[in-house]
Amino acid sequence: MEERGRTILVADDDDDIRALVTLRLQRFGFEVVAAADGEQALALVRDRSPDLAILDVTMPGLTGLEVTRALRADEATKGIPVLLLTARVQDADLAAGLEAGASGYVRKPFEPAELRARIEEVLGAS
Amino acid sequence: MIADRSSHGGNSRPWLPGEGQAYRQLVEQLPLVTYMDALDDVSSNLYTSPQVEELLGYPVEEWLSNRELFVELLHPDDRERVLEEIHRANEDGVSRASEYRLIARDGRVVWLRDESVTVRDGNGTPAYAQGFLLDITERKAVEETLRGRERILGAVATVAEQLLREASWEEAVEASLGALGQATEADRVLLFRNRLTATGELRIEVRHEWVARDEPLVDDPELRDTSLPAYGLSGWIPELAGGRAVQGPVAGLPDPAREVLARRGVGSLVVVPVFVGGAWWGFLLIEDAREARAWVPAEVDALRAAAGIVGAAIQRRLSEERSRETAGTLQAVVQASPAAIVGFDREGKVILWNPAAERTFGWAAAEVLGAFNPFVSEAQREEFLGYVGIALGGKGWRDVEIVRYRKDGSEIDVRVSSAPLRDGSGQVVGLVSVLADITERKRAEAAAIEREERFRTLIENIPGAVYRCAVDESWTMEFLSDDIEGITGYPASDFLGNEARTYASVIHPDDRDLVDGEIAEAVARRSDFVVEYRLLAADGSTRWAHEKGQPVFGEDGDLLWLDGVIIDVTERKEVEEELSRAKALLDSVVESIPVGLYVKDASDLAYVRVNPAAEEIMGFSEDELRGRRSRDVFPPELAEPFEEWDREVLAGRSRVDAPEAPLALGGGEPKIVHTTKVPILDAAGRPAYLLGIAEDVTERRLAEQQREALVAQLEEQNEQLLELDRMKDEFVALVSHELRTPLTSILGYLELALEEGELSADVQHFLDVAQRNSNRLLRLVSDLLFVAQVQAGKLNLDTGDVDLLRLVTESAETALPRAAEKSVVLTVDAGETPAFRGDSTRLGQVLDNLVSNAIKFTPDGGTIRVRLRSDGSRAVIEVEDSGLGIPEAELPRLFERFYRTTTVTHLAIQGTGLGLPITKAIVEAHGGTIAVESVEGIGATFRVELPLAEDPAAEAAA
Repeated sequence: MEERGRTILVADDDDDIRALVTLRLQRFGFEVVAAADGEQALALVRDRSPDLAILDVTMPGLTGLEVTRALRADEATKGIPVLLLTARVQDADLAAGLEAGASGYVRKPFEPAELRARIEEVLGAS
Repeated sequence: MIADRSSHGGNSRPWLPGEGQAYRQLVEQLPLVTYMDALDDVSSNLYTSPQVEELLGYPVEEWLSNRELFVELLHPDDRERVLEEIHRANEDGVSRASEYRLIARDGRVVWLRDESVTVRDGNGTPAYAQGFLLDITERKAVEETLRGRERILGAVATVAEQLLREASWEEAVEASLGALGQATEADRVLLFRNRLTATGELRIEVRHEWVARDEPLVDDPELRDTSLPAYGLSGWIPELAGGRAVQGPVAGLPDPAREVLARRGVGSLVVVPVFVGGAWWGFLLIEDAREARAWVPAEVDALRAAAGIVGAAIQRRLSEERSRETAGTLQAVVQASPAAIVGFDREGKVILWNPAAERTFGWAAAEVLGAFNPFVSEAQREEFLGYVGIALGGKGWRDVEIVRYRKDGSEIDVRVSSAPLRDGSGQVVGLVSVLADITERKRAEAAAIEREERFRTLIENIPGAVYRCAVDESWTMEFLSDDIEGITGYPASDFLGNEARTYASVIHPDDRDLVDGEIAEAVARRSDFVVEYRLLAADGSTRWAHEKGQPVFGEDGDLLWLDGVIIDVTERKEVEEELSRAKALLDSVVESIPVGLYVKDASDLAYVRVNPAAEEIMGFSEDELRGRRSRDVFPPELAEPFEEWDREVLAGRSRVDAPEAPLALGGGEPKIVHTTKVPILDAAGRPAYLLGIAEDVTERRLAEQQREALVAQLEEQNEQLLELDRMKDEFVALVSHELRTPLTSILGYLELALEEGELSADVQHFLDVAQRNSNRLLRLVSDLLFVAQVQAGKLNLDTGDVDLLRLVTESAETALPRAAEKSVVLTVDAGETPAFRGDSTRLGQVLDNLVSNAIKFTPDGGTIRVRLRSDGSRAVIEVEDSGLGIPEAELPRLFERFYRTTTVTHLAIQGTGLGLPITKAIVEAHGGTIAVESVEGIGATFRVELPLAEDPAAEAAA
């Protein structure tokens, strides 16, 4: 399934992972905007209005959860869904993400198929 | 059982002093004086009841202090006799009853009846006398008066009989005077005759005389012709001429009469006139040596009657002829007599019946003259005829007291004097009787006796059963009062003659020897006994008896019987026993409790009692502390606060808890003492004592301190452990996170590499190995994290509908390739199970773990059977393998974290030791159980049971 014309913001402070996710999403056919920290992510979302934001949770500066809350609080961005991509897989961490306003999460390490399924779920519903 | 030795030798009259307050109150209420005298050399008075002061005017103190008082107050006429009676009674140790006079402080003569008993000591020696004094003055006075009048009436009868019979005038007159003198207990009786001189002067001359013992005066020429004025007694003349008597003490007479009479030893006198034929003829002079002699009207009247008879006799004698006139005179005398005069003929028929007889007996003369004596009853006829016979034999009699009957049938007590009645020739033709009515005296006597009896009854009527019994094994009762029924519940008749039971049989068996012993002792020393013992009552209860008794001996010294009284003292005994038990209990408690108790006197704060525990605390013995104050034994810095607390407690009248403090009392190691002080109030609410309750709490406080220190230490350690645990969990979580990040890149890029089409076979293989090991590392990280979550209690179930059949099937299918690699046959025997709530992912993990374990431990060619069944309430999953099995000793530890069996280690089988603990945690989070059965070398079966009704989410929420 090609995803032409749809843009996804990816934010992760780990360069390798950010490149890995970007490559996967591009292979899925999405336009990818990548950010290396929370502030950058927030600025790019406001600037580019992506269809989806995939955020790492543990980032220096603004965390993924804080970015999510900021997006949800902003009228201009509140309609943009967020998937959290996290190594913090404990139940409490996951619950906190949903509470902050994320639409779902993907555990690290991730299966490409699972990532795609989650994206389709969120975009299909939006 | 207490034999009251202190009252041994006590007497059988329990009312006497020394018997306790109740008896004492009783005797001090009685209208008589009770006393107790010691039988020592001087007979000192030990007790006299307070009534004595009212009776005699001397207070009790004087009786107790002045031993001679009693003898001093004894009437001189009675003194010798009474002292002799008392002495004899004390010597012989017998009871005594005497009547005598004491002179009261105000000079009254008090007649007393004195009854006493002698009480012996334990050796049988007379120890003291107990008795009572009853005022019988009134009775004595009545008796004296009545007796005096009767005597005189008797004398009058004699006078009448003597003079009227007139055997010899001289003889008759002198007999008459003698009768009067004796009757009045006078010393001399003189009959004077008047004589008028030619000049009209009244001279007097003595004609007849009776003298008790002194010299006769009748021949004294001085008295042959003298006059009353010569003695200064002119004043008597109009009195006597007017028919009046003169009486009084000699001391009140004018001289020279007073002087003359006093010289002769005359104390008092009575003069009654004698009239003959209506004219003053002379007078009777009755002299008495006693100055204090009281001449009661009855006596004087009687004397006047006698004088009248004398006058009548003189007149008859003066008469020349024995004529009707004489008979008339006789009749007049008889008519005038104040006593009943009755004459009977030989057959006992009435021939004389004077007006006094009419008054006395109720029959008029006309009714009875010629009839048989009317005042004797049928039964008395023979007796009366016997008297008549005596009279016919020429004999008379004096002062016979006898019962006769009035016309109305009532009884009358009479005193009879009789004489033969002779005709002119001296022939006895009947008898004449003078009868005095003594009913009144009898009644007074009876009343007085009754009064005494009433007191005696009152005294003796103490509550208790009075008995007389034989001294034998049965205590055979000869007499037993009905009160015994109130004590034993058996009627007295049961015991009399051992009719239904013996008295011995109702004495408590344990007390029989004591009773026997006490009585045997009392018999041996011939004295009273007191014994207290138990009785077995009819209702099964036990009663306490207090028995006082005495053996009674016959004249020949033989033991006759026991007399005594049995009193029910159960109530008193019970109270005593209760008190004694309570006291003994309290004493033993006080002595033995490990709490220090001491008592101080509230007035001076000196120690009164100190129990052993308090001795221990204070470091001083009770003997060292008693009578001393805190400041006498402890240094001031200790004693002062002690006494300050004491005063505070006593002032506030309430308990005070003294502050706990380490005290070095008695020079020993410091002790921590906790003291409570309590005031003990007397009946009026004033503090009487101070009770100190002191506890040595040194060890307790030390132990408490140690324990607190230990607890603090443990808490600290626990805190550290908890902190460590938290840090460990956080560390595990952190590690897990930090490992996942690089793993993400490793796995991600391996996957990208593997997706490249043009890889050599070798590169392909190398990347596969890297990918497999990366996945293994990821599982290990996940397992570690899971265990950390479980440890931290953070295992959350993602509950939903679970299809166990699907989970089992999927798990088996997933494992098939690995099973196939080892040629292990994997079979599934599963049926539909009801859907239930649970975490499908976690339960799938359980099945994967069990199945992969089974494959791991099953040698090539082995078999694994996976079974699923349900019975409606639970699902049972079994995974059975034909593997190596588990040594029995290791089974209990199989589900521990990181535990690896010897087999696993030995065979270097890969694993973290986390699979089974995780499995167990998931099963238990679903409310289920997991168990394993294994035979080493044969195989193992893991069995999981899950409750179908359970909804883990609902349960968690509940």
